[in-house]
Amino acid sequence: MFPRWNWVACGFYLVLNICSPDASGGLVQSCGHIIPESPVLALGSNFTALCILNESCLDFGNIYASQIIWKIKNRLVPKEQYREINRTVSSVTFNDTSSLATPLTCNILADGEIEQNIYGITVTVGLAPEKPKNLSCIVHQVSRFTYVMTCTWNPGRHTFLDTQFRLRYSWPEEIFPDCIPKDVNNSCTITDIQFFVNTEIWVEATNALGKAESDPLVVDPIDIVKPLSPQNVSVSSGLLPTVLKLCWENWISDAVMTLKFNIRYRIVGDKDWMEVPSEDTASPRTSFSVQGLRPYTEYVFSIRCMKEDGMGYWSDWSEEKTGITTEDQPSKGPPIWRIIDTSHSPAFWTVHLIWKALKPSEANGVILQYEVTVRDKSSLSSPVKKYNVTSTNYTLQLREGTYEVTLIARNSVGASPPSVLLIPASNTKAPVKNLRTLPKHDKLWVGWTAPNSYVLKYVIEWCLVSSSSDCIIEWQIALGDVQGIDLKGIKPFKCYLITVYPLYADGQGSGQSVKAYLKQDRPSKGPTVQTKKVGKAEAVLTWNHLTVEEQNGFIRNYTILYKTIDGNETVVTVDPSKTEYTLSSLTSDTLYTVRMMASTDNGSRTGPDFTFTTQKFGKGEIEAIVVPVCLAFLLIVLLGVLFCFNKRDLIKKHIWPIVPDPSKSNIAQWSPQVPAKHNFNSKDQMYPEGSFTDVSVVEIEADDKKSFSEQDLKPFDLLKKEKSTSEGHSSGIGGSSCMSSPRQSVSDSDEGETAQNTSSTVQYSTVVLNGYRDQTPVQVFSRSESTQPLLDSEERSEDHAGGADSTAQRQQYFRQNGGQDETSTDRPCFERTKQITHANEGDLVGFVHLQISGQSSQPLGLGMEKNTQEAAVSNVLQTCTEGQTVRPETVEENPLSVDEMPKSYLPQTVRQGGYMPQ
Amino acid sequence: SASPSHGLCRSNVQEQTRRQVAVLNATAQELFSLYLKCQGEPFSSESDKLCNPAGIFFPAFRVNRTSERKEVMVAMYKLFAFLNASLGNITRDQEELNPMAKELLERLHNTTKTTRGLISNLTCLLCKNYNIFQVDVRYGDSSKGKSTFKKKQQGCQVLRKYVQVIGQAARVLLPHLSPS
Repeated sequence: MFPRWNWVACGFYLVLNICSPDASGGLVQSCGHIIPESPVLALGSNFTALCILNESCLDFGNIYASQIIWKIKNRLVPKEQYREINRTVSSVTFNDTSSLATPLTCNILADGEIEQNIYGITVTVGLAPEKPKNLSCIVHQVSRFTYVMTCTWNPGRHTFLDTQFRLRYSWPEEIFPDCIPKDVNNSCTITDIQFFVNTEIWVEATNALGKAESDPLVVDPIDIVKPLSPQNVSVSSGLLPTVLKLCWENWISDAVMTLKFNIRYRIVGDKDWMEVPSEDTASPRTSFSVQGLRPYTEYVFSIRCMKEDGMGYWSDWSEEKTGITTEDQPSKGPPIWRIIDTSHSPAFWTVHLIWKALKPSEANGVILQYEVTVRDKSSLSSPVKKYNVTSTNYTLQLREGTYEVTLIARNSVGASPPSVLLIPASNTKAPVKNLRTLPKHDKLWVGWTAPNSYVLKYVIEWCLVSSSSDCIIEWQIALGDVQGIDLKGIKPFKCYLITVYPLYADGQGSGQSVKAYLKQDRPSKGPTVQTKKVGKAEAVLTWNHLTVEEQNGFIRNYTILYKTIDGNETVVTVDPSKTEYTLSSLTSDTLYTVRMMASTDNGSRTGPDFTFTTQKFGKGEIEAIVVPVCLAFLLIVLLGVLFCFNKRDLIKKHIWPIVPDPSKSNIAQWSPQVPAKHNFNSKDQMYPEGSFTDVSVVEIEADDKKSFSEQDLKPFDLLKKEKSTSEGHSSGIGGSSCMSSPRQSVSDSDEGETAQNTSSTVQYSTVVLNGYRDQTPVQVFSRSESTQPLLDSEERSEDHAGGADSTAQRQQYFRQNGGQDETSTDRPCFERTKQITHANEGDLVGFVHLQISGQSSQPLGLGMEKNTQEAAVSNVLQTCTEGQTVRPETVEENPLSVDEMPKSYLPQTVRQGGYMPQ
Repeated sequence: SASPSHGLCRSNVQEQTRRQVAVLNATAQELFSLYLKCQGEPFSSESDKLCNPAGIFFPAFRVNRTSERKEVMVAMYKLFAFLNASLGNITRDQEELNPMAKELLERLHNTTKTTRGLISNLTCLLCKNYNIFQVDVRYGDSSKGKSTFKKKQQGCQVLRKYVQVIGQAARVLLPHLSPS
């Protein structure tokens, strides 16, 4: 091992050796170098580099080849690739140069740790040039005497190196200067060329790794010329209307190269070129007459040339030049047709003659005018009429008949052959058969089967069917030997009405029509459906046909789609001629959604949804139910009435129980002037003046009595006792309902008397207002459980006065529990007990039934009758079973007529102290 | 001279040679006229006198249609070798004297190039057909150092003679070089 100071000295020496200027003024000599210096290597080849150390470094720095390490761009080369050749030379080998990068450096590890660079080289890796391929050359004529030759080739793969391409050419004894491409590597242009000498041309590619040459191309440059196109082309018309003469100049003299030509031409406006047969222009020339042209037609010409023998290239087409042929007389007469208007009078026609302007190819010039000749064939004596027209239509007023119309077009050269149209009196000839259409791309083919007779020609009329405007007729004439034509200008999705007329030599056949579409689409909208009538299980739907503009095709069918909200959709197909359809088997009282779809051959369109609800009952169903029910009801009522009528006595007995005659009661016995007997039918008898007063009789049936409890009856007993000792002006009675009530019904009666029948089930009181003598008795039923005092006598007087003339009021009575009024029309007698308050209504529910004067039953609760004729009840206390003390109203005298009293039983008004049933 | 590349000496060389002579014949008169025009007076008006080639050297072209093809070829070679050199001198003089006469210069260049190609083809024919690898050629006097007039006159004389001889050569060559 070196001492430490020794390694430091060594490193210092290395630095000095590399960096210090030497005595000669340059850098100090490097400790070593690499060979080869900056090599250019073929990609993929192997490569070996040597690092050679200087002897001087060995002496001073103790540096040896074994200490050398190789690096590629700071990346250490594996030591397996090193080889120490001797103590000053180390080599590194790369089997594949593709792994190389630049720089490749030779370094040394001083003291085993310090890395010092000795030398580095730049390594270039690339490919040798490939052999250029596909060399081809073309000689362009630049001017009359100037030609350049441009050669192109395929340079081959990229070499990654600076590769020079040069185009070389030579004559047998002469090699010319190379042509060096500029900015490209695949073409070069030679400006100095010579015709009629075989020239050898090749490409040479050279780079650091080698050189490659293309296969030589031997060519006479005259054989690869692309000449300039002929110049100064002119077109002139000659005497003939079908000939135009072209003249031009060639850029190349015949001595150098004889040329052949191509001449193309077309009518102005056309796209397609026509060409003069090449054999006609295969020889050198500077002019050519193009024949077979149309008169009075503007043509465009263009010309090109190439070497006569076909070697080389065609020139570009020359600039286009136009020329117009001269006019010729029209080649045919204009097609003519007519539209006869007989709307004014069948005997007089308005004949619109219409004809088509001749095509330019037929007019052969400018049509100056048309000559129309009309001959009446039905009258030989009629003169021939002639008209000169400049437009393409003419209107005649003719009498019905057969006419022959002749039309001639005239230009500056002459007249056309005449077009003849026979207008027969009637179209009685045979029509065409089997008229049909077939779309063909953008044309509509119309075909027919010819009639058996010979047809001169056919007239095909067609028009666009519209719902908003008239059919504007277009027409076309076809020769008699054809059985179909293509109609042009037909729009897709539009309906056309096509009519074909056969024209005969002696007449005209009737027209046959067909509707057709060039192309169909689905309708632009769907039908709008609605209901016309909706039943329980059926609905009548109606809709309007789509307009022809909306149809876009033939409507093949309508489809009705309907469903309930949650049900499956039902589909019905309907004939397209229909506008109404009845949906059946629907569910009653159900919401349906219906929509309608119109379909053509190319699709469908659905209209808006429409909803309807089927009816709950069918037609007559309600009547079928209601009528029998009503009848049955009426029958029942009738039977009831009859039954009641038959059993009236029994009913009467139940409803109007016989009220014991008060006059025969004990009270009556002590009351003076009591009628001997009751006569409800006779008021006079019932209420004879001054017959009785202050007597009320309440009878409770024995049956009902049985239902009274002892407790219920106790108060009555008390009352009875008290009453029996009082003046005895009132009597009370309690019904069964009252007995079921915990309360005591009290009736007070100051005076008044009547024969009263009460139901034992009714609790009531009769109040006799006056004394029992010399006064008109008035009975007032009064039921009051109120704890409040009754109104005073003034109020009662007002009530009395106010209600005196009101019959309705007279027939009312009040119920205390609700203030509800009920009217008893048959009641002769009126009762009123002023309602004191409603506060104790709940206390009054015990009065369940209150039967008064013929009413079989009363609503639940306690009522208070109001009677304007009633006498005021004042200071009459009512006592209920609970011991409440009720102060009944004072019942004043009411001059009730006796006639109003019969058939009623009069509850008795009970003065303070209650009443006692008899 | 160097040995020709036999790969280029093909059968079409005869026709190429005829076409070259034809081109020269077709353009010679125009070249001469243009030359006279571009030289100005007195050449444009006194061409017959000034351009008389009698006093200059011009290769003899003593062949006719009946001469042997080899003899014709040799005579042609001598003629066009002379013309090539002379046209080169004339072109150089005109580039100096009439640098703006583009068409003249262009025609002179093309004519010179054509004679150059013609010589190449004739060499091919002589070598291939007659194994003649060397022909004695005499060139004209150099115009270098001469006066402008002399230069113009010398050119005028050569071109005039050229017009005469090229026509003759075209006629002679026609049967000899026509495709058989």
